[in-house]
Amino acid sequence: MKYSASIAANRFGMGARPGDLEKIDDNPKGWLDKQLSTTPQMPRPLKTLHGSPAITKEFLKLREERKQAKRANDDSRVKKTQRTIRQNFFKEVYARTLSGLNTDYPLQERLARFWADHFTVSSTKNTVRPLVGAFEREAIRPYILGKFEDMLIKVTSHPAMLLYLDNFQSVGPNSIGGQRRKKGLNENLAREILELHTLGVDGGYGQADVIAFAKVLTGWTLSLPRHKKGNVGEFLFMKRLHEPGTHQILGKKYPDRGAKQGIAVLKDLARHPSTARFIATKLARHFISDNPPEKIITLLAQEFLETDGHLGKVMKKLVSLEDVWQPQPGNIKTSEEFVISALRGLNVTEFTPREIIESMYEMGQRPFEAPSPAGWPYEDAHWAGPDMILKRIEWAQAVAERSQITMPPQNLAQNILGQGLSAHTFLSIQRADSARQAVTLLLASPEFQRR
Amino acid sequence: MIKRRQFIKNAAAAGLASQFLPRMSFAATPGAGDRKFILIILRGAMDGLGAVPAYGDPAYARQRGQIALEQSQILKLDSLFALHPSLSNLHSIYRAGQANIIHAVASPYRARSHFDGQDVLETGQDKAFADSSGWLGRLLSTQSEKGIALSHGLPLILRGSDNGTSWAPSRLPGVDDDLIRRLEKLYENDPILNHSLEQAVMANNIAASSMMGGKKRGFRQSITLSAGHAVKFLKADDHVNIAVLESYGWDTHARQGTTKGPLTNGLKDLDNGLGLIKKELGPLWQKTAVAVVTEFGRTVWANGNAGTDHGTGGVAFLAGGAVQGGRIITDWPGLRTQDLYQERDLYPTTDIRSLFKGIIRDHLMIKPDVIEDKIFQNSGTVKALDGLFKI
Repeated sequence: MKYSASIAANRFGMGARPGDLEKIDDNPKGWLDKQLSTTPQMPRPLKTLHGSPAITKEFLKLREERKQAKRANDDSRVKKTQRTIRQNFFKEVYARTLSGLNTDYPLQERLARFWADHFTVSSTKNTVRPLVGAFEREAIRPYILGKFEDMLIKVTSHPAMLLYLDNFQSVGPNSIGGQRRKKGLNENLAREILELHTLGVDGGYGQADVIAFAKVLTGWTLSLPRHKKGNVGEFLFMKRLHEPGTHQILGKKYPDRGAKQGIAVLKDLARHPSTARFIATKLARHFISDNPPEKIITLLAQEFLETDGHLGKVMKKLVSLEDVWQPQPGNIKTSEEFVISALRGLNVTEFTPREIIESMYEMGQRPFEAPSPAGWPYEDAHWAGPDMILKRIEWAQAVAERSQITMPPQNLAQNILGQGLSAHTFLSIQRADSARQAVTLLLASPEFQRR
Repeated sequence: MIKRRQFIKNAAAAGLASQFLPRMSFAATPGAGDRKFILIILRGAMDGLGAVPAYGDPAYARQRGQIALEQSQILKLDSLFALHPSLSNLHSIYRAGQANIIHAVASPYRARSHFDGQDVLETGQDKAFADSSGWLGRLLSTQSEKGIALSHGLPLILRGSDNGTSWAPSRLPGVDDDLIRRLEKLYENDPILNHSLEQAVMANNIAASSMMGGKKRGFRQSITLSAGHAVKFLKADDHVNIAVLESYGWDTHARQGTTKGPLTNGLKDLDNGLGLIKKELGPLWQKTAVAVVTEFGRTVWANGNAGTDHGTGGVAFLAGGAVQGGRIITDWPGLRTQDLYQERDLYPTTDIRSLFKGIIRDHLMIKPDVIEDKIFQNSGTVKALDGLFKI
């Protein structure tokens, strides 16, 4: 088996920078294995950002300020607080973009983004927006090569998820709080954990399981100043909101042990054969194709079950399979993958957060803003939609105009696409009427649009 | 066994007779001509009882509790049903006999996943992920006219034909013809990219020739904004007869509100969009049908957070100058707990495909055998709704 540096860097990375392929050419698979054996790295641009408690406290303060300013009809102060909230979000987007551009562990970066999408929290909800970046740093990145159950538990108890899928306000009808107040059960988080995070929609659960699991998860909330308990912006289990009693999920009875009841359910879900198959299918779709071979799904699911959901080992299995090293055509890149790989390939470093956000917006994928808890679509038919392709070409042209390449465009194409570059595309680039047109054609080419 | 009462409501008794007359059959089947169809998909499951409260149902106030609308707030349609106060344009269209409301409607899908539910709604099959093409896509492949989605991507419902495309306004600099020719050559060996480029160029040419004069504007997936663009496409080109609009944000799990809140905002946007479509289409409105659909309904009563969880039976709207309207089409199942689906959701009594079949047979003039063989296969037991259109 001859492993291709181009496939390693493009299918399993964030796209090659000039010179990258040369560096990894002698052992492309080893380059991936090494990343899978290294503790997940926190990218430098993310290290200086605040954690959930600090972010929550600041957000609450800003909201209070805005409220007071509104009451006082002080327009300039209202705008000022809004600007600060927006700028904080821009900082998150900028830091994450830089992480993608500069990473020396591109496979780890890809996995961080894959899992953040699997466990989507979206800034479509205003209260979630300040926390989406912290969620990825705290609940996703440290766990991408560890046990699935650890990530699942951390994700489910993270304030951003508890806010996004409404569990922070779900109240057990027979709990002390439920008896006193009008609030009650909210099924949202329980259903999406079963459907989107673990078993999958055909994974063998029913409506009764959703309700029982929602009851188990009552009391899982985040600490806010009014609770006068716990640390503001961190997970808080509130016993007085928790539905008492034993609950049965997928035929198994879980006695009431407070928050441990929910953890016991999550641990069982994390090891369930349906979960193994669901995760295996998603990984295979992401790295191979929309319709991956059945035998690969089976192999990955088996590895998942045998290793108790050890995600690093499952990934090692995946990169050891010959099928994943087949040349093009691979999946169409998402718009985010397209933008980052283009900026890497052209070595563009001068841009503002606003430019990134607006570019992604035009190409239908605003950062941290997936349209639903299922995350972004994975299908080629979506990412290669007619308007999407035209927008990418228009954007490529705008970027090509600004980029200052230091070698002839056809050499740049060879440099970042390596063996993946076809003679046909090479000729098209060579015959372009200008450097701008040549770089546009390079970014628009099937080899660059796919990975 | 659930006892159902028949409630076929008519705004005007005079309309009753003609509705049950057999359809005239013509020697030569007329084509769709210049008839237009707009489909608005509300993603996330619109609360049907929030949009169209059954205020006259004896169980309504009790079951809806804190999310029930007061009699003084609603726009009454008859003694049983009313519209949410945000739907004032729809209300006047209905009053003018140009809109029907289909209540307790659902696709054949009975579980409660948005994503499977939307898949079934768009493929027109009876289970999720049974088809990679959409029913409108399959319809487009039987005709020469084109369908357009006002979206960045091509939604599933339009996939499966060369006549489906998507378009969204751009703030990016345009691409010249020379580059397009080079790209066509570049994509020679990649059928997917090749096809997408071709479709995009087609849509962009229509846009460039007739509509996007002046300042380009940013694009949000609001119905009001995309409705304006859809109308321009439909007016600009005789060969575009179908437009698909998508709207998000209907998954109202918390504090959905009665006359304020996320549901109200969504309904306002929808209603503005409908008003705009009617106004901007001008005379073409008379030849137009607009259907508004969602993947399923929501629970009849509020959950613990004054929102609603995923349900089953819901509501669809059919409006347009071509519509024989002023009716609420429903086999009303009732709102008592024992009347509900799994004792929580509005019981679905109409298959949404019967609405779709009625529209494409009587408005887009697709022959019944084509409908059954090519568009809605395996749905022989689902009969088209009759009498939805004036002619």
